[in-house]
Amino acid sequence: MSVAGLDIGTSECKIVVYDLEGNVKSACSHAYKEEGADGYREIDPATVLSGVKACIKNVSKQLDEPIEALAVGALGESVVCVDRNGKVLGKSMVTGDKRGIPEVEEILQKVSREEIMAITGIPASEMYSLPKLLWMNKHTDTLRKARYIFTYEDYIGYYLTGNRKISYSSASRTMALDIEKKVWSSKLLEIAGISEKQMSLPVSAGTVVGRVLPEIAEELGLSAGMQVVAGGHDQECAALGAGVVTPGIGEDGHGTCEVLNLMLNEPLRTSSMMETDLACIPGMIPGTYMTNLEITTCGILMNWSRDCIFEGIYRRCREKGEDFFAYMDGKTTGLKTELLVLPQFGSSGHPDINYDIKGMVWGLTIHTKPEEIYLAVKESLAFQMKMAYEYAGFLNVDVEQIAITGGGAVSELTMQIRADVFGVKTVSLKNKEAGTLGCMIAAAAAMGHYSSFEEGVKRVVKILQTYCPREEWKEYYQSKYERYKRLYDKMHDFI
Amino acid sequence: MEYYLGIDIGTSTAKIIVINEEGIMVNCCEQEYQYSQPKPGWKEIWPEVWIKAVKAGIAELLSGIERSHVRAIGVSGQMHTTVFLDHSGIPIRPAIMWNDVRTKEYFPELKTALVQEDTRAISKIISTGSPAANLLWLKEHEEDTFKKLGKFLIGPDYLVYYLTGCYSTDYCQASTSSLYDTDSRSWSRTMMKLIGLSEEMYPPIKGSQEVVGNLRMEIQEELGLPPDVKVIAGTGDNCAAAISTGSLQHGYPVLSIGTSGVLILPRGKAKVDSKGKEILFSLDGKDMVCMTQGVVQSAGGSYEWYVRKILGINDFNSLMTDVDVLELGNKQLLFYPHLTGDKTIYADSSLRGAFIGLEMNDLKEDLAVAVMEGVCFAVKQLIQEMGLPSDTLEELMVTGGGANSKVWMQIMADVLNVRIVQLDENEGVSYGAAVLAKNALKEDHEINPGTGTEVSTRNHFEPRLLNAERYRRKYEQYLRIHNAIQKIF
Repeated sequence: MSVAGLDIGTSECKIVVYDLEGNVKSACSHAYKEEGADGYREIDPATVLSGVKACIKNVSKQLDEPIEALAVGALGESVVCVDRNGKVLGKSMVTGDKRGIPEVEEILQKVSREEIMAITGIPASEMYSLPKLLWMNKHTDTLRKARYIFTYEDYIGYYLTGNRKISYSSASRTMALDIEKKVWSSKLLEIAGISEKQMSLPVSAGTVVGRVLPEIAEELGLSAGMQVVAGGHDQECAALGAGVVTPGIGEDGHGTCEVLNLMLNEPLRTSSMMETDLACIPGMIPGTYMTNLEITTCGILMNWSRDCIFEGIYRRCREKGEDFFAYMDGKTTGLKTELLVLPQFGSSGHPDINYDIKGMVWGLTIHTKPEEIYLAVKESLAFQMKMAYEYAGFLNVDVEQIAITGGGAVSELTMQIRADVFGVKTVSLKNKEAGTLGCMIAAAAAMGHYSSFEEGVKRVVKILQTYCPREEWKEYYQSKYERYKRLYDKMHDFI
Repeated sequence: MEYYLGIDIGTSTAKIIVINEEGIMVNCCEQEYQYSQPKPGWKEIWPEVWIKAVKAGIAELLSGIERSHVRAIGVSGQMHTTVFLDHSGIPIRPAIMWNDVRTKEYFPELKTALVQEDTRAISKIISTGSPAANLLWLKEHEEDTFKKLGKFLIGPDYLVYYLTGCYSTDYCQASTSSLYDTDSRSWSRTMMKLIGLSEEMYPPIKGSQEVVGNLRMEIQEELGLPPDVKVIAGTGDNCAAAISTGSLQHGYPVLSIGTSGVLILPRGKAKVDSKGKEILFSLDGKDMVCMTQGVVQSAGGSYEWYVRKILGINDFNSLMTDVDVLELGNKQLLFYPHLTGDKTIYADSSLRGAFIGLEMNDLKEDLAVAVMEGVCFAVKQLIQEMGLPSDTLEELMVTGGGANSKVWMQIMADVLNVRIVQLDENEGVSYGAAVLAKNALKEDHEINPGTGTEVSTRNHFEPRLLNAERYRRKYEQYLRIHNAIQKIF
């Protein structure tokens, strides 16, 4: 049995084909570049689509059994507009694009922040689609010319099947879905000059979108009977693929940014959520809701440190064929440092989302060694996430275990620091691609192979290693965390 | 041709120089030694180690010249290091050094206790490594040894004693020992009582150019030197350096950027109340002048830490080749340079360093520039706290390793808004000591611009309006750092 998950990200698309036990049968990825300058950040739908086609063709050739079902997980907020002739209009803005900031204010003139939160579960900001769509409506004629307006999840579904269905989690990220009624809010769509007819039908994850079109199946080497199933927004897919089936389990993805995905007890849309910039997003599992805490400088900060202050060490590692991060992790064995770092090098996430903020390394002495700075950077990410989590204490979500995915899971040091600092078990997973695995679970459940998403998780999500918080480090990290908070208080907006 | 020897007993190196009657250097050499660190924070050395090094060095130097023409010897070196002798002049334990911190348990209580009438000035300067603290420690922790104490000497004064058989110290060492009352200009009775010393234990204070005695016969013979070689009292390294840079004679301030940044401010006869260590100096024991010394503890040390220890680069200058001097001062990145605490302004050894305002597009070169800027800001603050009127200052003489960096000196000029003049290096402390010895015999007891040879200069750096203005604003930010981070640790 072959079931696939297709992930569309900001810099690459990736397809992974699994069997029903979660073993990888075949995989392929294709990178593409972000375009734009002066605050514009875009990807080209044509490039993404050709990457998707290439990946599907590639894995189709390698498989013994053709793909039975496929679900798509995609980046949020970016839109693809298609005209009456099926032609794609323009490019897609991605997160970090500066357009849409004044448009947020315009929207708030018509609908209050509280009402938007109550309807959509989204704390209004230019990060989501609606303000960007309003910008497009004011400055271009794309929306007027567009017959259909997609996110990447339903765009790929449309390309493959001719049908237009979108999962609740992807739809909610447009800031125009009524998450209670699970329908589009015409009130909000109208502000950007959009009609409901242009949008795909919101459906639960795991709903069949349709069968692949015959000519597409032939072109890509797919079986004529392949079903496309609604997946979700990439964060929610990763959460499912990491085993988040109850509020007690969190998924902490370490990529360029770090995102901690938590399941809520209920669809919270309170003023506290708004104040702390927390969204309430429908989860993949029907009836569930998720939120996420973000640090904008995770992998990108580790890479900066490698390329800037540790450049000499990095060079020597390359000469010896050693992995830099493994080498530095090794140098911190048994090390304790008094250094504190504020990791907000140019931007910060929760609890204070800010794009005009700078970082800090404090506590340097003449004896400070490079590995101390390295350790302090890793600790700072743990402290920052813990602090973000504490600010969101009103969520009343008691996390007992966190699955760490992405680059962070590769490092035992990171896994242990997180266990010690958070005071909960951290686990790494056998399957490294949580996003595509989550999609696969939705697709396989739609085909009846699993009775529920939860059953799918039990079958395919396997723990590689568990890290427990160490009693002897508890006090040490508790008092260091207190100092971190004091430093953050006094210095996070010093410059 | 007449020769004069100058000896600098440094922390881990003795430097010896031979000059002729015109003050020109004939030859010099260095001898290294190790001090011991038996416990964390302890730094001590048997005086015999210095003697061996000096004898080896002198033997090496004298082999090239006409020994019978050596006329006098001047000794200088580390300040504060405390030598403990019994009644026969034999060391009873290793000397406790200026950079020893075993006495930090006494602070800040000792300072608070001394803020009374006649020890208020002492309370401002007393610190770990000072003779007062070291002697107090001896009494309280090595009672039996303390009972054997017959005489204490300060650093290189021991060498003078060894060479002549006569005890002495000078005003530079005495005035900074924390045992001396600078108001009444005599040893402090209060400190004497507090520590439990007796008058006989104190060395007599001489003018730095006063002849303490002749070279002992045994040493004469051992080194092959003529009879009648005079040994002068000498002085501490700060004062000898001030002579070698022309600071004392010409009355201009001198900034030395070495591991530490040391600013010497000659005050003439004026008494000034400001931050910094007040040092008295006298050539003849009668006429006294003052200077104030302030220190940025970690100056070149900060830069070396960043470049060598963190980046792992050995060539200091390689980082600076691509720096656009016009853009200096444009980045918001700040470096707080107090990597080893601060004595002069804050008297706080718990201060730590920091990089503040880091962004993803910062390169390692940007951080290096920030380190240089941070040290310059610390120097600017030091200058202000020491009461040097920077608006009437036309130029500042700079010496030391850091002065060789063109980028650093340009930043210094822009930050201080003053012309920076790089002094040509001579042999520093040992040269100053040799000059004193030479002038002692000529009975030239006036500190005048003629003392020593002409001081020559190398590069000049002018402040630039635009960059100076950027740095003025950045300096305001820098000043806010101390209060902001006071209680984090």
